[in-house]
Amino acid sequence: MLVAEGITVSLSGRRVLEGVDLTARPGEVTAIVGPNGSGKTTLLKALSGDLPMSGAATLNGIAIASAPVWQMAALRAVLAQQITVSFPFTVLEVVRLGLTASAGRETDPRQALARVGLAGYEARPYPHLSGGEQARVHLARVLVQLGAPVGPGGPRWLFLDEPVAALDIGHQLQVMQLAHDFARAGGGVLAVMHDLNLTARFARSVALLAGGRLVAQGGVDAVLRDDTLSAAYRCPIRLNCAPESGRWYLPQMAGALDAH
Amino acid sequence: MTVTLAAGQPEVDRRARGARATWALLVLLGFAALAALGSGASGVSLGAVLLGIWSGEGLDARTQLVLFEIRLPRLAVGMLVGAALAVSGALMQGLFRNPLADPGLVGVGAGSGLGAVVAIVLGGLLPFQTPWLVPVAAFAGGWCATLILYRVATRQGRTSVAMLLLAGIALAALAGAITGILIYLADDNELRDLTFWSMGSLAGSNWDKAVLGLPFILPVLLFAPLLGGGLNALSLGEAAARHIGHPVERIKLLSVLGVAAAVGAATAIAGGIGFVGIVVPHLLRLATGTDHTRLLPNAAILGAALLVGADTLARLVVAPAELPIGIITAILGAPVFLWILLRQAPLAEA
Ligand SMILES: Nc1ncnc2c1ncn2[C@@H]1O[C@H](COP(=O)(O)OP(=O)(O)OP(=O)(O)O)[C@@H](O)[C@H]1O
Ligand SMILES: [Mg+2]
Repeated sequence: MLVAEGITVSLSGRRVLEGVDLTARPGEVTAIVGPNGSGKTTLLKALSGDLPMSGAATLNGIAIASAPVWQMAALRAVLAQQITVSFPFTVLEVVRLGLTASAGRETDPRQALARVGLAGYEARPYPHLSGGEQARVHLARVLVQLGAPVGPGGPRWLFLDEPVAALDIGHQLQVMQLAHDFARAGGGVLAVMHDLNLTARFARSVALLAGGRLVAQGGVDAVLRDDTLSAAYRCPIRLNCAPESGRWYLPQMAGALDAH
Repeated sequence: MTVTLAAGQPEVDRRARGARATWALLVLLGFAALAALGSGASGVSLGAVLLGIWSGEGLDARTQLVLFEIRLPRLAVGMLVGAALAVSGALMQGLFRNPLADPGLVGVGAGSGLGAVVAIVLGGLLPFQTPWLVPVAAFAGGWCATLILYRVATRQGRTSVAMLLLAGIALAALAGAITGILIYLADDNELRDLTFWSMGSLAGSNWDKAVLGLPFILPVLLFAPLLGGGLNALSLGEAAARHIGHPVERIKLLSVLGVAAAVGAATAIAGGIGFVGIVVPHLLRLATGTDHTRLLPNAAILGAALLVGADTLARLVVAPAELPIGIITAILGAPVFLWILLRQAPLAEA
């Protein structure tokens, strides 16, 4: 269980997050959505122990701010929004960076690569890969770090910051399915998302941020509604339903049409 | 015999290459050491030495003196200094996540150098004279530079690499300015010492210097590879390395202390020898990849071999006189440095 209460973060003298409460349960995907600059990445960094924050945050009952790095590393892995690798490691070497003494050894790096659709890429230099391929290499690294979805310290957690932002539609589904399966097997997933359709399809709980505050948290039905989304994104958005795939969200191009 | 490796086993391949490289480098070091022992101004050849031992007649007194009091200590100092510089370079590059970082860049070398220059020029004012003054002052300078760097670049227990680099530039500039002033104060004798020293040389090597360097350099060589995994992870950035569970602050602190110890000792016993710390790790990365757990031990061996080889060249090129070894390493190293810069250019713009 991830419980955060009153998370407040100031960066360079600016209040970026203001009293955000968030709960995430293992066994389901929890999505954080909201417009650019609403504080999603900041929240994920704070919960990863990267930023000085006020408020209380615990993961499986352990205080995030004061836990030693090795303990947190055995409990959760973090996929950042942007990662640069400063030396020309091979793909397999990058994935193996996730192997640590504390966690890991449960997932074979080659298998992890295969699961993100990169079988056969092991020996290629990481800098030679495309953006989406590089993103999936890091996903494999994060999977290798965590190993099984549940460990001796309880459920393990994936913190993913826009895991599908760089991916094509097929790999978006593949990666979201992977996260979903991880949760179904008992792990926890906290994912920052921009794609509301994927969110509706794969997440069970959604937190909506706007302007550094939590606007709503709850089930998909309660949070992803025409009115809350339109207000948060400042853009008319309509919920529709397709007979087979369920709900989908369509931005209404009202402003653009009015201009004509 | 050719070694065939199963396809799809690149990891095994790379590791095997790393291990093979270690053996190849040890052989190279052996040859470099034999060449160094067998050449010099006294004309005692390796053949004569080996023959003396082989025939059971033993070595005559002169050969013994040349071998045990001149060439062997010089070989020992050369190996220590070369290994220290190469390993420091690899540590710094891992720490700064930049293949161009070098102890010279963060001002550790400049600090050691300033200490030595102060000792050379102002040492005459002291009421007592001791040959230990220059080495000890270079030591002290290196440590001071590291302490200042740490004070400037560390905030709330976290080190900013950019601040470290900038502080290093400032320290180097300051050391250069003070050196400039001291040169005006120096007499002719001291000036010759200064030039020779600033170019670096193994000419004054003796067992005392080897003994002075050993306790500082050897632990760094032995323990640096233990930092390899952490330095690998650091290439993802400090936050990502921490997420994986690496004690980032401790890795950075130990790397900086290791570099200060090794570079301070190397500068103290051989002066400022440049480019070894850049060239050696770069060549190794081309040959066996980036993994620091392999890079660090291999760098120690290749650094030792390279410096011993360069020193042999320095003694042979203008025999019976000799060149400061720093000239040789600069001639070999500066073009490589520029070449790395050139290859990096597109990355830097991206
Ligand atoms: N170091 C910083 N100093 C000052 N302000 C910052 C800093 N980092 C982020 N911010 C500000 O905090 C706000 C939230 O940033 P954050 O990166 O969390 O947004 P986000 O919701 O992840 O946006 P995006 O969807 O674009 O990734 C932004 O307005 C940003 O400008
Ligand atoms: Mg973000």
